[in-house]
Amino acid sequence: MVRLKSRYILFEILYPPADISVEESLSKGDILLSHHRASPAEVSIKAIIQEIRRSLSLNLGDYGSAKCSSLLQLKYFSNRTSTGIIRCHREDCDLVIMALMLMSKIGDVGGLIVNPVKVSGTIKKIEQFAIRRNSKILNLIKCDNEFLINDFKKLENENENENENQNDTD
Amino acid sequence: MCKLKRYQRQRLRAKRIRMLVDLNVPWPQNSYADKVTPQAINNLTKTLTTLHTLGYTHIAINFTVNHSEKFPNDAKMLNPIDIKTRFGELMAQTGLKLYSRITLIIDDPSKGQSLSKISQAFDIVAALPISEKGLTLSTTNLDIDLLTFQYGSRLPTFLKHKSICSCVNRGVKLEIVYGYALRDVQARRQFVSNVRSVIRSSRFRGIVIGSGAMSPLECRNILGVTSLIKNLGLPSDKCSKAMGDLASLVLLNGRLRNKSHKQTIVAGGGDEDDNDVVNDVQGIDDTRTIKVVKRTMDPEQLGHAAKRRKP
Repeated sequence: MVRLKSRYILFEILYPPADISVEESLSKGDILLSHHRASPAEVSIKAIIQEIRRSLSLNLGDYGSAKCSSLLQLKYFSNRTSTGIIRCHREDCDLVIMALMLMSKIGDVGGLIVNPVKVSGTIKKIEQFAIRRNSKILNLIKCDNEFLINDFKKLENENENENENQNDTD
Repeated sequence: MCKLKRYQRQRLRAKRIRMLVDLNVPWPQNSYADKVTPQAINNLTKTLTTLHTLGYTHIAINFTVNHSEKFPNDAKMLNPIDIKTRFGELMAQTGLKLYSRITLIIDDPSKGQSLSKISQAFDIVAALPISEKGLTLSTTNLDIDLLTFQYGSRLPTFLKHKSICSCVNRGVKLEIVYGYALRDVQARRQFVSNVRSVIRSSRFRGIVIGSGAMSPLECRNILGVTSLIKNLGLPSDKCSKAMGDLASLVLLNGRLRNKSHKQTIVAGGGDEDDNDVVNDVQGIDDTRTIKVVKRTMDPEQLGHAAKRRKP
């Protein structure tokens, strides 16, 4: 008996800054921060699955969408981090990624990119990958804003010193 | 010994994978007479930052102009994309490497001008034929690095194996622009059929992929693009090469055209111990330090051509 083989796709939703007239800072951390945002409440699990189905039937027709949707589940989606995991058939993995790539909106929310990041055979590995990737990105942002954080610390230290000095004089 | 070699090969491969090239980000100007608004520049900068977030490392900004249009006489006016002053900060902050590219729309070959002057000013020269005569000219004797088409509308003519393959053997690469697949239904339909005929006529050889993203929303990462092109009939190994190796070869070819002797030896510019011409940030024309680089013959990159030349 052959096991049912599936693939897990890790994806994230990016929100590129839309307003053309506003100039933004160009540092690495700020670019990352401006793209990775929390998703609004309208982007729910149900809406995403619906949109994937719609994109599948629009781009691949009845045949493609029926082929893919035999095993198509959204295993996980978090609005806070805008990342999710999709489970699909091993043979139809490419078609699902293609459908994700060709999506330009979810429900009524436009101005987003659905960005497939990684494909893996087990959900455990994909979770580990997601954790590693997010900590890497966090580190980048932290490195970039380090001098700011340090500045705050310096200020705090100075304030404390001043307070101590005042106490001493009292 | 064998282990060492394998290790070296692995390191080489790892180095190659890290490069991700987008050869086509449109410049907001359709001719030399057009004005560039600060808003358009801002939009372009945002597109570049989005591409950076998606993991791209090398990006070429594409200025499309009609071949019959009069080029300015002043050498400084030839290249309106002032990369250093406009995007210098972006390049320094993010480590992106930006290049300039010109695409000539070729309609009637009799009205065309010589390319020698224009190819001095840009890193890459591409041709976009919109008629049968234009296609014949650009596949036979035009000195270009890239051949591209308008994927949103019908191809000028039926593409023949013979002309396209001879063009690829000459070292010219074919470009697929996936931005058209994301615009509207009509453009997408045409895109699919055009890409299929390009892939068929080139026999899977010498294909590179660019985005052609007008706005940040039209950028996609390598995983999505490869699965799209794979579904259109290109083998998957060629897909991943199309955005890495082959595209960087185009960058290398274009830069060596002006700044090397017979495409093998480069003198000038860059860091002293950095022998990698494609990867250096400063560009070859900086006269700060003198660098002599000999281009290595990598049989893997030469591939088909190297085999054929064997006596």
